[in-house]
Amino acid sequence: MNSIPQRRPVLRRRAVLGGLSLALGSAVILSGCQATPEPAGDPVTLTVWTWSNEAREALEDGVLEVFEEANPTIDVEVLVQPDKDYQTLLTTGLAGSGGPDIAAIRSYGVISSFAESGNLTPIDDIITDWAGFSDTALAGVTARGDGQIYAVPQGMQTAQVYYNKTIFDDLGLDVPTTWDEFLEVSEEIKASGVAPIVIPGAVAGQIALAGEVLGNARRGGPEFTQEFVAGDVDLTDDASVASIELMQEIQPYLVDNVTSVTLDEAVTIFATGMAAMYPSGTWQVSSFANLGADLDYGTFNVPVDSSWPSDEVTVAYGDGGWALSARTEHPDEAAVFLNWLASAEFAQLYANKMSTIPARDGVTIENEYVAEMYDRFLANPSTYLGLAYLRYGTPWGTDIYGEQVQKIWLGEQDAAGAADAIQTGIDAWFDPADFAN
Amino acid sequence: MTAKSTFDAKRPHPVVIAAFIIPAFVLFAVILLYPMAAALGFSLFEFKGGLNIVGFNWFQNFVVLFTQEPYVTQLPRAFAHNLAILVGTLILQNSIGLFLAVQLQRFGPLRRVFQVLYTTPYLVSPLVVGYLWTLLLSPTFGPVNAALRAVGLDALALPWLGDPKTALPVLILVSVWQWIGFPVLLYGAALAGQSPEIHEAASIDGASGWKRFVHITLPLLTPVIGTVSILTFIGAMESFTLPYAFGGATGSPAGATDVLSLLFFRESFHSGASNALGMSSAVATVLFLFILGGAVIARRLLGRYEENLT
Repeated sequence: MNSIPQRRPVLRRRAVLGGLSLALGSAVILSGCQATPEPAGDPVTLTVWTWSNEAREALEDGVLEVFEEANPTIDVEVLVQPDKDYQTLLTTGLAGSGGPDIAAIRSYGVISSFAESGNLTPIDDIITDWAGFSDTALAGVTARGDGQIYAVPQGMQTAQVYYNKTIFDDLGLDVPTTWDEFLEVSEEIKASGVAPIVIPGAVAGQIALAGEVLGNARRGGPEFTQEFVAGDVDLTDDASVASIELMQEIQPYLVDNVTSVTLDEAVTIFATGMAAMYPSGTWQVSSFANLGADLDYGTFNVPVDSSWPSDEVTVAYGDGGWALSARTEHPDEAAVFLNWLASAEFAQLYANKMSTIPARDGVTIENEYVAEMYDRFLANPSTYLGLAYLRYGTPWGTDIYGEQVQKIWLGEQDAAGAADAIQTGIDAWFDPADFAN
Repeated sequence: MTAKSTFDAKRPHPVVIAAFIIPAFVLFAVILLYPMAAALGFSLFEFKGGLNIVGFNWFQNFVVLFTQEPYVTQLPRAFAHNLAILVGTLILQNSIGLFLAVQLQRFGPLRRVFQVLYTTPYLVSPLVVGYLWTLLLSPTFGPVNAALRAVGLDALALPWLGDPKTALPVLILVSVWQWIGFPVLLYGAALAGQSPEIHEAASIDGASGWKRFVHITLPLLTPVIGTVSILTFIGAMESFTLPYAFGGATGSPAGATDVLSLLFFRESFHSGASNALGMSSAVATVLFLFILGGAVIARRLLGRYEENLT
């Protein structure tokens, strides 16, 4: 792999050159067709697996075309596997035959586990140019075990509060700029008969996400995360307990029967104006667009109180990556394709089709909502702690967080007890030393 | 039992016997025995990501399962929920199923129609049934609570699946609703097989309808009740799809619908833990041994009871 050229002036040519150089690096291909980059015979088909229908639609809507035009010998076929069973199918797919050449894999714990299985090939050296990716983005696709990169980051997610502009305008409310204002705004919305806040309270992971939007800054933002990963503080720390208390503080403003609200219901409740605010991820921009609802909305970060240890933050996390199967029969073509997936050309096409935040720089976002989130993310990012660090063993920290907050809402638990339970749960497997490399 | 000797005399050539048995045995071995043996074997190893074996570690996975968090909390909780599902479905399926089957007996030509109707939910995937009922029972959008409110029963319009107090009972009821067709069919067939002469004889002797049911119908149904009970036991202990559709992998709300199979699922496919395969195999082995033991004991007890009847 040391034959990779250093300079790549034109992006499209770069991908071809990357593939060419890899092909040249391979003795088998060298002996087969020395001078030409095009392997003889039929085009090679690369199979890509993803859990996301939207991703497949975006890829097939003019994105892959660009790649296939530049690389006529490579066909890319995208297969969507059911989201609920994706990890199960991928575990067996990557371990045996009939699996993908390239697979979308979720970030952090999931990719680390797949990397450890030996069924993925590290791509540190396969991708010729990582310069466009931020450390936050690469952290999501780096395996905890060996510190190597196992996927091209697909994109970033930020989490923030969505608010219904029509409801805010009708009540003459402004976007709150302090935590107290946030509560006052909620009070006024409640008085008008609309539910101020909806959270998918039946789904543990979604409660954890909402809790992170509300509580990340209260806990101390990136500094807390750093200290936590270093082992200097744990989740029973006062600031961490106080961040869980916020979930109790907003309880009067939550939609009725919050612990029965599923994810689909939460989206519907917000999109139909039955609730005024919804803390959630970037992906809701697509959900709201797909619903076709006549919804005028905006987003804001949860405002902080001056007594909190951190300024306002934008909660962010790596949103999966494209990984290379160790069992692919076409490693050279897969490398060409992966290099293209890592290019600004792809990021520009894909991020705008998907309305997601790109993992790399050099991209202009067309969607106003996403562009706004991207700017905020660049200004003050703070990693979603639960997703990035508390999903490397059972039980997931985010699962217990969700369960404990449900108990708080049901009147069976308090914030300190919840923090204790979460810490006890992750103590079963969490060791800061694992993140030391 | 006494027919054994006559059967021996007509026993076909061993090759013929083998030709009949081997295909089924191979299928059984590949589809059932191998995965079971593999899970049993996996539970004795420590893994490092997927299928990479670190080493044989005897019963360490089981020791962890019975002594360490989160298992010491979650395993008994899940087990208790499985038992609740078992008790609930056992009582309801047997009683309602038997009641319906007895009533259908008198329906004559319409019997078939109702049998088909009762069996319909049984033909639908439990996952579909689960999502369907989630929608029906939604406090915000569901027709069940809307109907309750419409007739003035606002107090009964509860967050069915959002409250730990109601979530498990609702799960049991929906499970019974889905599987009720099965006992109805089995009891129906058994009732149809009962000789009318016995009932007539009892009537002539002056036995009332209820007495005939208690002293004739019910004892003759014992083998079928046993079969339904054992199958219910296995179904309740392996319960996964419906709890998953209702409460996701974590048994929402607040773990109120967590069951052993969900614990297994979280451990194996939802954990990111390095030794996921070893630990999840240990959970599966414990579950398997419990079901096997329970089924064998139940079968023995029933066998003894049936012998006493004759």
